[in-house]
Amino acid sequence: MRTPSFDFVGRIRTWVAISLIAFLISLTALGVRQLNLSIDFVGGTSYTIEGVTTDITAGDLNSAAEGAGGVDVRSQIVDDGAGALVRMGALEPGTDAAVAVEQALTDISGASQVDVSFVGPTWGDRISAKALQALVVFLIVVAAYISFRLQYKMAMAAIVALVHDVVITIGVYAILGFTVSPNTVIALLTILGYSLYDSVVVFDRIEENTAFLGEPGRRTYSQMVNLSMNEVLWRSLNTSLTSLLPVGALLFLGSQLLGATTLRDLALALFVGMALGTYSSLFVAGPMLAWWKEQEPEMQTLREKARREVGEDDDLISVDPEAAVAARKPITTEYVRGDGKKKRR
Amino acid sequence: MKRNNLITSLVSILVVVAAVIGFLVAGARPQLGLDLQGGISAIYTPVLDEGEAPDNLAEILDETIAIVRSRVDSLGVAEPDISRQGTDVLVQLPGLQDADRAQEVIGTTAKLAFRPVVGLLVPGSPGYDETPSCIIEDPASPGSYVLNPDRPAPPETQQGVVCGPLTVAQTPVETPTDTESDTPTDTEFPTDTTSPTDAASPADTASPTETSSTTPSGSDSPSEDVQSLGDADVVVVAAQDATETVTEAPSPTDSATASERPSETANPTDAPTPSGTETDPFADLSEEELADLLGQSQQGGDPYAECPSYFAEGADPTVTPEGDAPAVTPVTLPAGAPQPLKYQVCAAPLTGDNIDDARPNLSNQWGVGLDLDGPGGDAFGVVTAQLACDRDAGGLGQFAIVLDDVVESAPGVNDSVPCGEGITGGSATITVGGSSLDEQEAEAQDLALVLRTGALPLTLVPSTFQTVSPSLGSQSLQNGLLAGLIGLFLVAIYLIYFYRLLGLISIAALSIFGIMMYGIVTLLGELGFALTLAGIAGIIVSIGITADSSIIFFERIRDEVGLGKTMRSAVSKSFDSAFRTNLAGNTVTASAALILYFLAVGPVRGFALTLGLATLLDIVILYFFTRPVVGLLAGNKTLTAKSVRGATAAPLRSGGAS
Repeated sequence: MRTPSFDFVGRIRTWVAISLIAFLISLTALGVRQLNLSIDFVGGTSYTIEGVTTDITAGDLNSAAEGAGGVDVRSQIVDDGAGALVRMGALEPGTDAAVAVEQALTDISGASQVDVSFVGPTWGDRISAKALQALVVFLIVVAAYISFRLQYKMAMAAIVALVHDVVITIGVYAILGFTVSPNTVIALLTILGYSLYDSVVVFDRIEENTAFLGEPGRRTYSQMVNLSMNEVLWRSLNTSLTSLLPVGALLFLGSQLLGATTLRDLALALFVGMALGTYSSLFVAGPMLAWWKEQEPEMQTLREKARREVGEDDDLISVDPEAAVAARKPITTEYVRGDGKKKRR
Repeated sequence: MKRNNLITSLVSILVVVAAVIGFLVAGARPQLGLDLQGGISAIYTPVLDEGEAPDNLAEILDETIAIVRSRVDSLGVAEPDISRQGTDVLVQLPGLQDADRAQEVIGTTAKLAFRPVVGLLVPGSPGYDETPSCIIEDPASPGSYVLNPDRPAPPETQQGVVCGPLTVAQTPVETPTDTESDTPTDTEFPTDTTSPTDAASPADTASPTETSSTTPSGSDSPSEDVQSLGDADVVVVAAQDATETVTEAPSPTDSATASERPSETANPTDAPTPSGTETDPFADLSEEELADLLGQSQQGGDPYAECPSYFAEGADPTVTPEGDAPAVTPVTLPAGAPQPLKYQVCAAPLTGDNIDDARPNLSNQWGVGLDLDGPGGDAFGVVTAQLACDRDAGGLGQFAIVLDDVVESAPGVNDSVPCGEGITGGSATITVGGSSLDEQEAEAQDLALVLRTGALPLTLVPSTFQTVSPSLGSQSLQNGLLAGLIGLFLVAIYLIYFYRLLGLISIAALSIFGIMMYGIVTLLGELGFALTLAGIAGIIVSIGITADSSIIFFERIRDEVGLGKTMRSAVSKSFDSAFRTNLAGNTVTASAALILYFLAVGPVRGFALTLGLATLLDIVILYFFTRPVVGLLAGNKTLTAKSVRGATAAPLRSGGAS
């Protein structure tokens, strides 16, 4: 497959604009609509009703539950009327109110099974604390790892991409009104892993190509970054696709199932996050790194030198894969440049 | 990449795969979590009714868990799992649906009370059967017996009957003749009061003056499983009672002498005597006296008449219970079921609230040093004074330490304690039985733990509580598997479309991944890991990771071939670079999984675990399967540069050819 020549770095303004807009929309949604947190975070009792035999609406369930003592009741009919989900304020199992509500719901829906899920009020704080802990630990580990393996500036670029991914994913949840449960948090943390990996793939290639900075196809840092990203583009897309396919299957089935909130919560975050992860490695992390590095004095010098050799500004960024490939070929009949002693791959 | 090397790798992994398939065909299955099986799963957090958490909270929690476990036994759950996670208690009850009952059983605080014993009821005697049964048949395994949740449970302010420990139960004999032919007559209690001398007095095996027909020494350990009693036919009764005595702790002002107690000394008159035969409450009784004792309830005398004397002047919590007992469904037990003694006890002059501390200590023998608070000390003085008189008059002279309506221990008052004086000062030592020092130490620690648990009444409050019906569970399982299959299928199509022959290799690698993953999960099931829906999700996500490894490899091969290398050298070089990248990427994912594992709680941990394992498995498969296969195929020219380059719908690479 021919190496594409998509100009990532050159159009950085476009990407920044897109990302900023998405970011702002997410933040607004978070502020305005608030996240729909599951009972694991805020406490509550939820009932999963299977095998509904009567013809009821969500409103019927609400009134039945409230009549029996439930507070803050929200119901939802699912599975084409064969099931229902009812959520309300916490009712400790075994108490009179809990028994009464369950009985009322069973009676009105004629259900064959009612499963109950209760979370006490203090539990949510504990797992929220844990989730935040996990996030912080992860970011530190990520920064350390990339700094160690590659470069400090790459680590920063990667983290910016990560934050971008997480915020927009959460924004999607806020916009769509999907429930955020601990599974969602787990999925978010997993995405961090993926996004990081994607970024590492790109940066790895950049690092490899840094050895040839100054040669045709890689005359400036920006051009080199551009080229690197195009070289891994196909591969990135491929791997994203192979990751997204099974997750897509999970998402699809998860939203169909009555009780599979686990799957759905996980899958949506994974799906959105993985897609974003690929996007951000290419359109955020890469260009940002290039721009940042270009500010360095050595890179400026390099740019000057290249301009003298080639001429116009634009050609210093756009990707020229043929020239790059020609520079790397092990067997050539001509020297591209006069540096005979320089090792060729 | 030597050829032999490759073949070895390939063969070894295929052997492993075959083994796994073998196991699976033989019927090994992973253990399913409750969200796939159905049942109740809950996390309980201990809430202290008052005061702050002591530093041995973990120990007390473990003891509380033991209590909960024995209560849960009566629910009939096949494999209940109750464990401690930090300061939380994780309860998993597969197959159970009755949430209210479960909550009732687990959430009730276990109370500790000290109750003077005024009589004993023996299985088979008329008085015994009038009160509810102490045991029921275990619903989960018929033939063995567990504590009856509806056993007699007189409130602290009432007198009544409580059950003795299950571990010291005996087979009731229905008829006067000793027809239980397997049972040596010496060890039976008489059904009537006719032949008390044949009865084994409730002395333990440590006292040599008793008839030696009691059980082999192993059986008086409290850990004896009640199931085995059915076979043993011979039981020891109340082993602890005989050897446990209570003595006054020596006052610290006494001069140091060669006393047994390390930090304190004993006033000679108060020195605890090592327990032994002389403290056996039944040894000195004549036939008639014993008959008296046992026959009290049968003769209609009110055994509780002396109860008020155990309370200080002015205190009167005793309330007559008869007639008020709620109707309980009578439990029918098969004949010959071993049943524990029942103790007729007064209301409780002191309870667990009165305990300040209880620590094991060693003097001549192991015992438990008990410290009571002000009111507790006073009450204890009154009780022991009266018990001492009772003992001198030929009565039992014992008080029962009752935890969760089961008598844990029933020590008598040591002879050195005079009638009318009792043990004052709020400190006492309870010596324990046991034939060796180690046994005694273990018993002392157990008893101390019981007392400390009672002193710190924990209520287990549910933090999370969840029921899943079996139908929902199996539906979730099916759909999880279906999602996995669909995902695999989609990925397979994609791979074949873009990579042709290499794609086939990739699919083979994926299949091996699937089989081995299943094998690993089943193996972990043996170790207690349950596969949850989150775990399945983790596996599905890692399908992508595994496919990804192959893709990295193939893309690299393509790159190298495009640069003009031969197939063999391309493969070799690509593998090195691809493996490095794969390793880096998988390390990242595995670290994420590791962090998640330690910070996540409950079933979602399964996601982290399966994800982490999958990344490791991926590395293994890349090295032991994909590399050999591609290498070998490249070697024998099945895989050519052309097939690699041409295996795509996208336009051909222009680089090398142009």
